[in-house]
Amino acid sequence: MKSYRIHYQRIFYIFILLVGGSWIWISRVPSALTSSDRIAAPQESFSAPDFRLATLGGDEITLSDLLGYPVIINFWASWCPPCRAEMPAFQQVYEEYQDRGLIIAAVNATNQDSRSDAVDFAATNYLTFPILLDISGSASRSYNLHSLPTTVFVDREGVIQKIIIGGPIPVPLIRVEIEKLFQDNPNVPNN
Amino acid sequence: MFPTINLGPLSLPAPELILLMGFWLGSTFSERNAKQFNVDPLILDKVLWITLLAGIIGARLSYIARSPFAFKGNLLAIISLNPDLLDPAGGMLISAVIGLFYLFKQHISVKSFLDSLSPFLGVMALALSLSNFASGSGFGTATVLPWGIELWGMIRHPVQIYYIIGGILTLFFLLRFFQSKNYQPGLIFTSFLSMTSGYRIFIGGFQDTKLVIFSGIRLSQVIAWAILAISLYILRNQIFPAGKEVIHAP
Repeated sequence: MKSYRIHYQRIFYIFILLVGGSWIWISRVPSALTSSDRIAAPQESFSAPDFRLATLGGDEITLSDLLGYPVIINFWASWCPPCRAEMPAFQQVYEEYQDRGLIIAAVNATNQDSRSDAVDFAATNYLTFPILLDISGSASRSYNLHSLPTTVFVDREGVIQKIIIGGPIPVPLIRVEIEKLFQDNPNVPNN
Repeated sequence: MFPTINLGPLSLPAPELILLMGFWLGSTFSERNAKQFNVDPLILDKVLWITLLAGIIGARLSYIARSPFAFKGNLLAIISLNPDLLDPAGGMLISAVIGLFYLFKQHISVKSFLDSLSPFLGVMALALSLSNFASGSGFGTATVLPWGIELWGMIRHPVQIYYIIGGILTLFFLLRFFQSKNYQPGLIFTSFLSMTSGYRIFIGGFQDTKLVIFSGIRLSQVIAWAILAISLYILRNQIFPAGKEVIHAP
């Protein structure tokens, strides 16, 4: 009696494993569905939503024009203590990686800050990377900005590799994420 | 999707808070049932906290070991409170090693301990799915089904909800199992493992991921299948063991 139960149980387990294996094969990802990087969304592995914003100097920068370069987008405001605390870290890594093509776009949430405070802060901290002014809040909205600071690491193909909500971000973490941006898609030429 | 909980000027990260709540609820749940498995609730509590601490320290050490260049000139960052400076895989490995070492040192049966740990793991699996739902990660593939949710530019399977349902059913099964009078040590844990890997294989088929091995086969499903195969093999030996070692629940 027991040997029959063992026998049927063995068949049942093999059946479960076969069904599981078949489902894995049937439900495998079609190539079209793996291309989430073609959809623009503020989420890791998706294409970074595009924006066109003015710099403090009056020039305009469009994110999609920066394809080919690793980009760090940092949303900040001058009244936000962790944003203020982490800015020197960004300046430090910018100086380290600028020659390799790293771009830092510090997007000031001007719709909830003042332009003059942003200018003062950038000057006081000797920030040399572009400070962009999100006056209408359109970029903040397209990135679903819930909290300041928020930092988005975008690779050379324009795909979001990492989003860090909150801060201050220490230098080692920024370095590790930058190195990943340089490692991803090494075949993409650095312009 | 609710990545942050705003309380006045405070902005709290919802996914991390959910995981913390899960740890607290899960450990309470496991401690309440520990005696049923001849495990001292205080010992269980101690092991959970030791492994958590070992996991956090291990995850930081593993992160440093993998990227020593990053800390050059910034040694103080080693003690940074930033949770992104952690390597989860390294942390889990170190946590498991320390936990097992402690169990052996205290002469606690690993099988009974794993049984008593199952409710904790079940609640943590639920918390992880809820945390993914809050952050919007671990999302599903496109669907036209009426219960699809709008997420990241299209209507998608709410896989996080599917996982929550799978987790609740598994917990319900475990609760029923606790009422059973006779069981082999380790049987509850193995059953939990096989049920969890089973629903993860099925629901994983609706999850959008780039972690595929070949021909679009998802890595997560293959890992779940391997765990299912191992747990079914152990389960078969537990139900029809060579020797008999049966616990009679009080």
